[in-house]
Amino acid sequence: MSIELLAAPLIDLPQRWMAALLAIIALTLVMTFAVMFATYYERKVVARMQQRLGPMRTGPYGIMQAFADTVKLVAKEDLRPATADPVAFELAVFAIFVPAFIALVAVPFTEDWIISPMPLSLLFLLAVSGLSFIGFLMAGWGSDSKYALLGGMRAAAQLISYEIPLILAMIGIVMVTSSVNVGDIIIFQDKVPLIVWQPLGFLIFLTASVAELERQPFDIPTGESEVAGGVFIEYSGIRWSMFQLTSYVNMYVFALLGAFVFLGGWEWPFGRDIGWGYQLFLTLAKMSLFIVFYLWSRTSFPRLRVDQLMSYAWKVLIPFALLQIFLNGLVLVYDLPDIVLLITSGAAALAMVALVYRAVRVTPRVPLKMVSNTMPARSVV
Amino acid sequence: MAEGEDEQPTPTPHASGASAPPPTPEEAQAEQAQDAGKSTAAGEPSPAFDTAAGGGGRKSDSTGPPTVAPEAAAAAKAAAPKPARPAKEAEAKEAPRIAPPAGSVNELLAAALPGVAMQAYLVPALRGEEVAVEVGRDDIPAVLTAARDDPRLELTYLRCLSGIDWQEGGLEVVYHLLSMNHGHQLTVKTRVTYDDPVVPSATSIFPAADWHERETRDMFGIVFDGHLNLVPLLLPEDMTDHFPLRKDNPLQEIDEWQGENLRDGAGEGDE
Amino acid sequence: MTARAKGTSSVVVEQDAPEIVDIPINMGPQHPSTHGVFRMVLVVSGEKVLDVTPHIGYMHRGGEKLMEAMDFRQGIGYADRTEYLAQFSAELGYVLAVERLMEIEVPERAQYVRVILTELNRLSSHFMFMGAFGIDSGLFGTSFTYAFREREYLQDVFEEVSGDRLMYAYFRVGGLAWEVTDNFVERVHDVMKTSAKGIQDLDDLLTRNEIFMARCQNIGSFSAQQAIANGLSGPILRASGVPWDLRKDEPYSIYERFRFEVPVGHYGDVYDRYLVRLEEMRQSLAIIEQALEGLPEGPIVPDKMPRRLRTPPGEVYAKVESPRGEWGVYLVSKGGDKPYRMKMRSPSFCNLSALREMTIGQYLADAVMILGSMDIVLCDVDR
Repeated sequence: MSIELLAAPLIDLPQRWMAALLAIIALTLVMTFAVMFATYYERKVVARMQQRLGPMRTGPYGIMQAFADTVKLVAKEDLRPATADPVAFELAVFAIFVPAFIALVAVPFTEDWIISPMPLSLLFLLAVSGLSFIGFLMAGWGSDSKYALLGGMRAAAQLISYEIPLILAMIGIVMVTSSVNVGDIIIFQDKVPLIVWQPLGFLIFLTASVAELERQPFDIPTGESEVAGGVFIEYSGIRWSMFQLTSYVNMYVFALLGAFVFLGGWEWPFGRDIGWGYQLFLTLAKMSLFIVFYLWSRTSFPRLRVDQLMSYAWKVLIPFALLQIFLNGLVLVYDLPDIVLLITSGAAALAMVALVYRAVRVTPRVPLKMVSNTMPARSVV
Repeated sequence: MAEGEDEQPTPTPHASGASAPPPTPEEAQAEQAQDAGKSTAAGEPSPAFDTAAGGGGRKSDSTGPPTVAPEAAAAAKAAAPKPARPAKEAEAKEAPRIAPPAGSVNELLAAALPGVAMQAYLVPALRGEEVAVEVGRDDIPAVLTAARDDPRLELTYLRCLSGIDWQEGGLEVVYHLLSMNHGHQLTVKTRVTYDDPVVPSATSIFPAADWHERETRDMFGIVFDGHLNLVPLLLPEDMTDHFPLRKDNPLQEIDEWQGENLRDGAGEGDE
Repeated sequence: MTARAKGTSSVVVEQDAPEIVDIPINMGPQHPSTHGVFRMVLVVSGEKVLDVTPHIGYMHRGGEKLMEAMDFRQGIGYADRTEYLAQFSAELGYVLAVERLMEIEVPERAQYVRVILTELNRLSSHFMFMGAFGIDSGLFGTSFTYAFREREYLQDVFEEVSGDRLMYAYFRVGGLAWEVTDNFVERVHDVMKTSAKGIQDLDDLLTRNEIFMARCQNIGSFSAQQAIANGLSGPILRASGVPWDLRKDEPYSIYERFRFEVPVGHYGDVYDRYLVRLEEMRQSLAIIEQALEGLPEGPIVPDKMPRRLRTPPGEVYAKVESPRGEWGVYLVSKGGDKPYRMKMRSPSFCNLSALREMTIGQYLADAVMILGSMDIVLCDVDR
């Protein structure tokens, strides 16, 4: 009823707009609950990996924890530093929040569940998800805090740098499928998911998406032990929770994108005639794989340093992404069999992993010396 | 037994144990009980409060502690096979100074610095294992430089730098030096007066002295001449005129309601 | 925008020449990675640290002054509170000083129990380092929970022995406060098993992790000469290539009886400090193993212990190898049952004084790692 009242002035608009509006409202609500579930799920999974129990007190097995957190965050006082720039400080939240939700407009959850089917949906997704750095810059500058400023600068540098390998990896996909529509890309994978033909691209996408999400080991903009939250340091209450909400929505978006583009979405392995229920299940299951990977990397990797982060993007990911494009081009131009793509791309992926493995061990380190009698050894020193 | 070195007459009322032969521990315990009984019976202030300031304020000899020959030390050692119970009048004193045996580190230092007057003695006093050298404060840079650079000394490691407030004896700065190559150590001491508490800084010789000197400046007001950044370290930045570890800042007296005081004489504390 | 975010300068800057300012960043006293109430003012140009000014003293409690008013028994409890991660080491240093001044011979059994507990305490302290250091390096708490699991087991043993989980106050001048529990040996064997597994877990988690290696190697390097000149001690000194361990070089208690090896690094960087601590934990297990084999029966305090602890006048500098380095107790007595002057040479204080030299020129993120690699205890720094 409330939705009808809300929609009453718009009743004259075309039916399509009404449907889109309702879909967006539904989506926002669904995503909010999905994010609440994600926070609970993350806490439980991370706790499991760290030999803890995680939330246990709010409801059975702590399932009400996310609701309690929401109530607490919404009820908390929304503070703004006296010296902060009011416009930048308050608008920064929306500059991050809105693009994350807009991106969902182009996401095909099943074959039919899509708010706005558009022919360039992959391009739209990448373009919209790349907008959030403006919000980070605004928040970092507007907070009038040095930590926030550092965090904002780090966020801008990181997001822009990792946008490039991400987009290059997607260009490889577009070359193979000759489509920039996510739906078409999914349908392309009815036999074999694209991860088989593009392992290097998948690896690059996986790494770059972690960086885009600012999760460990790329959580440099918000590094708790360095900049103590970075751009979020001055935010509290509802605004802070909107930042968190956004970061989880982004996580869903990238996980969905990975599931559609590399794992075959709702198409592979059963084809598209299995009904929307199974399609949705497949989508969510494949998305969960990515999400578990994000959580897993969070518990097992320390954080990179800024210069290492930058050199990783520019010296490793971007050249290898270009290599993937080059390989795709070779196969397309000379009409080579697909298996060549698998072999060359797989070899390049292994080479990238080996390169990183070697990079930290490039100078052999002298191991510890075990001294059982210290005195003569010291005289030598 | 510590009585061997006690030349000073006692200023405390509990003189009974002072000139007695070394008591066995059993006797000592009995004596303690007697002491406690006496003090309560005679209405004296409780021993706990008596010693609260570590004997601060009592008169001590102004000529400095006596130096005792090594034989005396040996005799003292021989006479004290058991845990010693020093007499109470020792409270107002510094430790006796026993010259180190031949071949100690201080001789190397003296050989390296022939012109510097230094007084060497063993620490701890009775069963000394380490050597302390007391020098004039103007000689500190020379002594520390020689200690660090002389190839036979190589005292390159400054373990600790501390200050002591000796009240009438002035303020003392103590440097604990260590040679990792030779495995020996040396304690260098110097004294300054309250009126002129300036000691040359050791930071140019031992960078490790930096924070130690700032801390000693905080706590004792000893100014280290030549220190580049002698601002308060542990204390608030504006607290430059008050030196907490000096003995003229006594702590508030503590009611001791635990341990031996509770057992020996329950009523002692509140008299 | 206010002037503060632009910088401190009020000079009129020409339009086409943007003003470049080095930002002073105030890290602490409330900051997740300062390990307590510690503050450092970092001057950064971008991400590079140009200057560091450490500020300490927030937790200064005048411990040395307080100890002048405490008798030799009460001082033991205060030593705990100063070094609250290596309490047994702190207690041991203190009681050793008093014992040397009073010339008390400690019974064999008490010596062995002291060594066992002190080495277990070294384990628990290094576990704390491993956990906290993982967080400093950006790991989301995994090393912390793993390390704290082991620490809990160790603390259970300490609690059974001393009755307290944090402030043990179990050593006494002359021996121990009371006899250990009947199943002490089995309990220590149990906890050694879990600790060995815990050490291996942390080793697997961190040591060969590429990002961890990339973050730790070649930052905060100190040469042996620098380390000695700056008065560093403990694992940091040994990581710089100086084989100096007081347990070997100036054996106190009964450490000369045990066979163990001292790990010595080569580069003096943060990674070597981590490796030295990891190896030290294994060596501690070896020491405990031998001490448990040799643990004799017998009294835990000397037969002829004076009831009142009174020292002859004199001074003594007692030192022990605490997990953080050389914990020295400089005790000056004028006779009587209280110290006349009591200086605690705390390893955290001396190591921290080299922070500035180590940090300048490094990245901001490395400043956190370097501070973490020192494994400071702020109560110990401020005393």
